[in-house]
Amino acid sequence: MNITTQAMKALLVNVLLALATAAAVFIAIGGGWAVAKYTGILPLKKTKKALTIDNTPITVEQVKTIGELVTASFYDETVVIVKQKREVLKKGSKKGKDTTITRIVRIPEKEATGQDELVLVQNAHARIGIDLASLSKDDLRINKSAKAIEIKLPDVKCLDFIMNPTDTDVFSEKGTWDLDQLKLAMAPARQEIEYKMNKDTMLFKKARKGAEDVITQLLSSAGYETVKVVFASAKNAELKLPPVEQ
Amino acid sequence: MIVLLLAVFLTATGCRGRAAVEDTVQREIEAITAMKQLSLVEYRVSKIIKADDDGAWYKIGDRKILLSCTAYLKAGIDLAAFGPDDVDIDWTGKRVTVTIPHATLLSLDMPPSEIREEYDHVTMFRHSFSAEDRNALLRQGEKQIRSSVPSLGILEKADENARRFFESVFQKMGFETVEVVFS
Repeated sequence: MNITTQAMKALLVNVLLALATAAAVFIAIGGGWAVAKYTGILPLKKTKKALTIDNTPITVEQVKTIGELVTASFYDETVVIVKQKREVLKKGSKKGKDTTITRIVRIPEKEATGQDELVLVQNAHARIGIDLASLSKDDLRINKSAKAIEIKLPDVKCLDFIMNPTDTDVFSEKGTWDLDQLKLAMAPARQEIEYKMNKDTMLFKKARKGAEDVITQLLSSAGYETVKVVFASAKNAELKLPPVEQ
Repeated sequence: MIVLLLAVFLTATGCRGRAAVEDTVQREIEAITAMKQLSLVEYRVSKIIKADDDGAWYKIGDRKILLSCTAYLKAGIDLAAFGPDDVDIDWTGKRVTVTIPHATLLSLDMPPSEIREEYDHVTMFRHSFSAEDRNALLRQGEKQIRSSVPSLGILEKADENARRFFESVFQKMGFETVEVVFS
């Protein structure tokens, strides 16, 4: 009996030793690999397999007939740095579970580091032109015998302001940022680029000239020798020829 | 001699100053591009972006995310090359033939305000989705929408609207027969 007990004890000790050795080897290899990967001691590439989305269907929700003449586009990019910190509102724990309530507060860029930080390089482009859908018969005057035509166009405006996911580059990210926070971070970039666009008088001048050229060319191609194009916002926007007969 | 040298010096200075101004203007112009595009149809589409990251064999747990987005597609014709040669008029028969290019996709707008996170599930031992992860998934969604344009029928609809647009314009000018031909 004593021999059996001793043998059992020896076996148990051996099994425990084997398990401890295996655990130690596993931790050593795993730890060594992690250190090598994240510190770059060994030339192991920090490869991150890109997560791909499923090919889901696209639903057409609305089809709209439009008539927009785009004659200029504006492109710009800006850098946005957003910092936030978590403020503790109420500390607590209940039955060993952390019930601390925190809130996220955005802080000015110049405050101390160590907070959550998001740096975006944001591009945007705008399409400027006129909406021809708003034209009516009153905006067109024709004198067939004189081969003259007058047209009053709506003024140029920003028809599209586009900031797609491919226009957003997350340059640096510290901490946790959810989708709503990412969208909030993009808002100042949009404001800045829109401000620059609206301040650019040459942009709208170019768009207006382009619209005038296209319409003049189109009407001249139809055989009109005298083509007058005015914009609704211009000072002398009145058309002198009689209105087109119904 | 001194007067001549002074004149050359002033001219050179003026040229350098003008060159600096021209350089600034040129850089400003690069942000602005002239174009002549006629947008004739707008499609509003929606898409669910689905990603399931089971991870590699050594990663314990998984993470899943569902995002919904809306995109606005505009299609129409590019009038950059359109000129008098593309309009053939027969005054006696009051007939006109207009040659225009086929419609193409002119813009795709996926506004951030219409992107929503519908579901997000991350188990223990896995990192939650970062802003970069989400943006990368949204980029793929945008790419899928763009590549599906030929199958949506938007280009055919834009061609049809282009035909109607030019028929309407030239009929208003008094032509009885308007023929629209695609190049």
